[in-house]
Amino acid sequence: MPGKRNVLKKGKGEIMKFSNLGKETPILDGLEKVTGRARYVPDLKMEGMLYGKVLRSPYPHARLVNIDTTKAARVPGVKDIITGKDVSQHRFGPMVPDWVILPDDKVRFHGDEVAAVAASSEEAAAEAVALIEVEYEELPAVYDPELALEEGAPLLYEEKDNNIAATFNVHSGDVDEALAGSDIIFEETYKTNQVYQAYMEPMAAVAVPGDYERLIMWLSTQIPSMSRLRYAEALQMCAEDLRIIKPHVGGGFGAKFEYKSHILAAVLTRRTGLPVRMVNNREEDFRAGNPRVPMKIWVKLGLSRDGTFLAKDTRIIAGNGARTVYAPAITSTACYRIDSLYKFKNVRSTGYTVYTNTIPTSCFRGFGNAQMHFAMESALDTICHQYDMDPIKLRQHNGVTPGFTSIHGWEIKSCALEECLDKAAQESNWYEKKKAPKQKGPVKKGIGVAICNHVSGNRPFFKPFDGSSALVRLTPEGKAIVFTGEADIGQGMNTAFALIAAEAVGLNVKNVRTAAVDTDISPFGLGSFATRGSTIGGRAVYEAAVNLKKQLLEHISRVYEKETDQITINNGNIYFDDQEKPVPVAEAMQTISYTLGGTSLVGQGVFVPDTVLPDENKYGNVSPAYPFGCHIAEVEVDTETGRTRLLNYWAAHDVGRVINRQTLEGQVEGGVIMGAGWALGEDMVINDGVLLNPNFHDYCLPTAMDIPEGHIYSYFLESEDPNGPFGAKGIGEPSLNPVPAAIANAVFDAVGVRVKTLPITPEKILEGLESG
Amino acid sequence: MTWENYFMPSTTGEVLALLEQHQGQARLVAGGTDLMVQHRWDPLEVKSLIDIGRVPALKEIREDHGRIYVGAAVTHSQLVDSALIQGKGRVLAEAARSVGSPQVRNVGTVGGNVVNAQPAADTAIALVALDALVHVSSPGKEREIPVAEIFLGPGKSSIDPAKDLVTAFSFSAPDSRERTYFVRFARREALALPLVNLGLWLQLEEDGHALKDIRIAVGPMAVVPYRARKTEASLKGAVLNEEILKKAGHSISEEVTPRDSFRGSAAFKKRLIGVALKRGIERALDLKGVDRHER
Amino acid sequence: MSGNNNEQGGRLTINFRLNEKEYSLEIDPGERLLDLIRNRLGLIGAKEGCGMGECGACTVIMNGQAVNSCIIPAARADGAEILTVEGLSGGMENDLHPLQKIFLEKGAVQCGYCTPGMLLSAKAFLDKNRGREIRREQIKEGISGNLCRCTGYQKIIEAIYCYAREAERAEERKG
Repeated sequence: MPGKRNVLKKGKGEIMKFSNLGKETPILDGLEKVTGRARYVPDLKMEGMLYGKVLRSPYPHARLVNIDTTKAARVPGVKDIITGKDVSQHRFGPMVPDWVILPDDKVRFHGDEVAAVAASSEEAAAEAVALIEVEYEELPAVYDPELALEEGAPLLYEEKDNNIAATFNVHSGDVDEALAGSDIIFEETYKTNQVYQAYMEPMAAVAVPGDYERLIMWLSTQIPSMSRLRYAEALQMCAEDLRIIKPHVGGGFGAKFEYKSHILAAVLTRRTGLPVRMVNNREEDFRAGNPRVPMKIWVKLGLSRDGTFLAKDTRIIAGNGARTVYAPAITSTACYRIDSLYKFKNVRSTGYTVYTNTIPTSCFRGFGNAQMHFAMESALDTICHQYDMDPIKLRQHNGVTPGFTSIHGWEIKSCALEECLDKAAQESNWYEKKKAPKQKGPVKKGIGVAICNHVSGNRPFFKPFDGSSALVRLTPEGKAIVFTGEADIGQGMNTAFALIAAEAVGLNVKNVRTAAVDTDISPFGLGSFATRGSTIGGRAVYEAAVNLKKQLLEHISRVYEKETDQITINNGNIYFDDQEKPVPVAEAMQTISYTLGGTSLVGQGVFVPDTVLPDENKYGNVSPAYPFGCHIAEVEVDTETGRTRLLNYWAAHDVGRVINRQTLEGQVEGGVIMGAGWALGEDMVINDGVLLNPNFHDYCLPTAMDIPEGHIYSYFLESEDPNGPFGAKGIGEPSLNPVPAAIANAVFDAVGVRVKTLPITPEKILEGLESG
Repeated sequence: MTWENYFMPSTTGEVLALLEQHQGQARLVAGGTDLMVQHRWDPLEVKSLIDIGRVPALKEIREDHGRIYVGAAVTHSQLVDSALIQGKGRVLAEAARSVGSPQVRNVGTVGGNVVNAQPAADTAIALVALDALVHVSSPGKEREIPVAEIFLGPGKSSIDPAKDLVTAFSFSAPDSRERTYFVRFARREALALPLVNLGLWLQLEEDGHALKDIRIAVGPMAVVPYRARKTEASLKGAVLNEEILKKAGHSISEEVTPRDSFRGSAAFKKRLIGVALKRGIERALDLKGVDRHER
Repeated sequence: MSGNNNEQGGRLTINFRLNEKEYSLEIDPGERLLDLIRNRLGLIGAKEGCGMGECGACTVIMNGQAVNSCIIPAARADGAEILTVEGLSGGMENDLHPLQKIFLEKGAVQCGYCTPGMLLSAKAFLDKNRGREIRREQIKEGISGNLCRCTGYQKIIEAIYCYAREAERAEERKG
């Protein structure tokens, strides 16, 4: 039931009010953040700690002829220097084993790791890095994925006969026949550029020798448990001997997965026996982070005269950079995820993930789906313009509906897509604004729409399983602590977990907190990606809380001699049917605990979604729940300067259930501005393999003065997903997916210029205006 | 950092004494915003820094006998907030306001901005438009140089921070027929380098219609801040109307010689400078309402 | 005149007030104010986001003005009055500054890395404009030197706006 707030149907038409959900709850870890006491990895200091620094390649492609560390080693304070000669050359990697700890043969991008130093001060480490003498033999290089595909292109990995890191194919139905039978055929090529996540806390790690010869790593990471597995592989040690702790994280947006310098910190710590802190400076974070996978996307669509989608044909060439992080999975997502936004009957996609001598690319909010949304939603806008169809109605006509199973076997259990379109159209005054005559002066207004889907968990991401588990521990003081392996990186997930646990047990959220992830204590959690936290992690927390409540009821029943069905727990109080005065949970818990040797009650919860690992043709329900949304952007374009400004923005999202209205809005507003930055100017400018703008003055992410002059309006529709905790689905990535297309479509509406290559710069608009 | 001494004198006399005493081995620093970034790890050519930010005389903004004096250590924020500059040097106030961010404006100084001689230094462009003089003190001598003459190349000026102390900039207070304005286009609204900046000073005939005189300073349209003299000449004596403004826009686009860079193509910058001139004149003369976005 | 006159270079003693406490410290002439605050005084609220004065994460208030402590020589702290985020609220038992409170209440904080700098820019802006009516556009300019990648700024601006309105109303009641 979209649009409803704070109520849950409890079978038999009974309505339940929430005491914790649906409200504006400030994040529970906000106090330490506003006081500056929150500790992030770069704030950690250990006795005897060394400072690590990486020497990075000044060439995009070069053979390492000789490395001389003699002078560097003489710098006072230098404790260790490692090069490829000092480390094992076994290969590993998140998707493809093309990583080594440090190479001993060649470097493959400008910024590639050549050596690492550990010294007693940052200054000494920097000085030593500058004194390492490396003899390089420059090799021919290739930067453009299309050129890298050509016969005779320089090879990044000589043992392969081409530069293809991965190929993806999917074909369902009969695309050729459907195209032959289409009334409308549309074909176009779009390009999405390389952009940087620009989390405010750079990549960081502190490695510390632990007891029992174990290694402790404090990481700024989205994936504590998965990185533990991967780093164990890299360091050739047992995963159990690695303990990962994730303190506060200053944003990630997809970048903070497996990272080379984390491993280098670990190696230096193992060699020196001393703690090592390795923090990127901003320039190296730009040069060797994990930016968005750039794509060239060719799309062909077939429609019937009434606007029904008949066929989609796609070909994508994606830039992998010099080694593989997650670009193959991102390419495959771009190839086929959007097929389950619409009721497609025939689809075909081919994707190539191609090595180039540039920065390795990886996840960035939207994971390939964002790139494809720009292409698809721009294409639909052009079709609507050419064939005089209404962009809202065309999408409602073809969009998926509740109960629909998509062409790839995705089961759409909950879906308020149609309502999202109506809501955004109504609130933005869409139909009137579309009809309004254009302004007379040089500045023109325009309005554009785009919709989106996404997942809430992605079954194929980690092959062995998807799912999550959690513990909720109720202390003798009546306070609950949630233990999860899922990583809050600033989105407010820990607060959402606490709200879910509080609601499920009947506590006040003030008495619930979520513990920092520590692999020695927390359950295994795959981490923050695929918009899975609230849904999958949250459901595990919910199950743990339900389990805890069951135990709690049994103990209350025993201690107070009441039948369990006579007991209600709500907002921290225990109510008995035959007694007016409630008993506080804290009071009952003390009695329970003190009669049982001081025990805490621990609820354990497991959620294994009924998802299916897709088969060879990508058929299989990948996610327990699918979020949807509709965005409408209103812009003005200055036809003399080409400059586009955002005026207002309307975002309607089907989130299943509102857990915390405040952080949901925060995700939407942040996603919209991040998407707007990408759409209107963010761009990593790479010339001959060298990034020209590795700083915040030339890489222009939005400032407070660049946000809409008016407002970003958020609306949440509650479709109550059967799998999500209390029906909740994810929001992180859907909040960004439709943004570039919504803005591109608004620009087109304003000035009639269709920009098909991101970003939508003033130059491109002026060019478009000139060529008419 | 890479320097060994840091002096904070409190009078210009002390500054000059330190310069003389160090014989080229100490250099002046005002806000230091550029220096601190460039020399975090890279050695500086000198061992000692003389911070002039504590010299009250260098932080003054005053009017004296029809000239406005701006001390070299005056910060961008001081310029933005100064009623005198807002009233009698609008182009300079607006230029200062468009620099970086509040934090950078609070520290960065007009002296540093000019002496560092970046081709798009906002306050330098404004001072060129105002035809300002640079007042320079060196041990034993004082000079006044027209600001436009000190720029030698990108990052290079004829002021040697190891020898010369810029004490102030001055320009004549405008009369009732003079107007100034500053236009800047950048990739975003704050924390951005300008794609184009344009400082404008103009003087109307007594009838209030025709242009008697005009100075147009632009950046980054050449290796140094640049006066568009051809376009200035074409506008002298003109009675302003849409047609003339359009022509002037074309003229300045033809006249300037910006470089292609990843920040913007030469063709794009040429086009923007034309728009900037047209809008600058319109705004300076209040022909159209001021657009809140253009600063 | 202050500063070190030792021709051989070396240490330099500076005196300053930070969060209402007097300090007299020997520093390296090349030290940055940010390093002084974080490494010498152990105050971790100010963050290094870029080291180039372009992100505002290291913002502190010095003599009433917001500055990027990563591009200020520590030597310049001599004689200065400095406020860091730690000085806004004091210890764990002290009340939060109302600006901190409203940031929390209004959801102006997500990952928190930009928050200390953002709070101080907001404070410096509000102090400077005390007694004046404040528009959202001015707030945007006031915090334009502080990058935030999480929030999209809207809730931060709203928090500052609400604070300013409350302060205005309080002034009116007094007046």
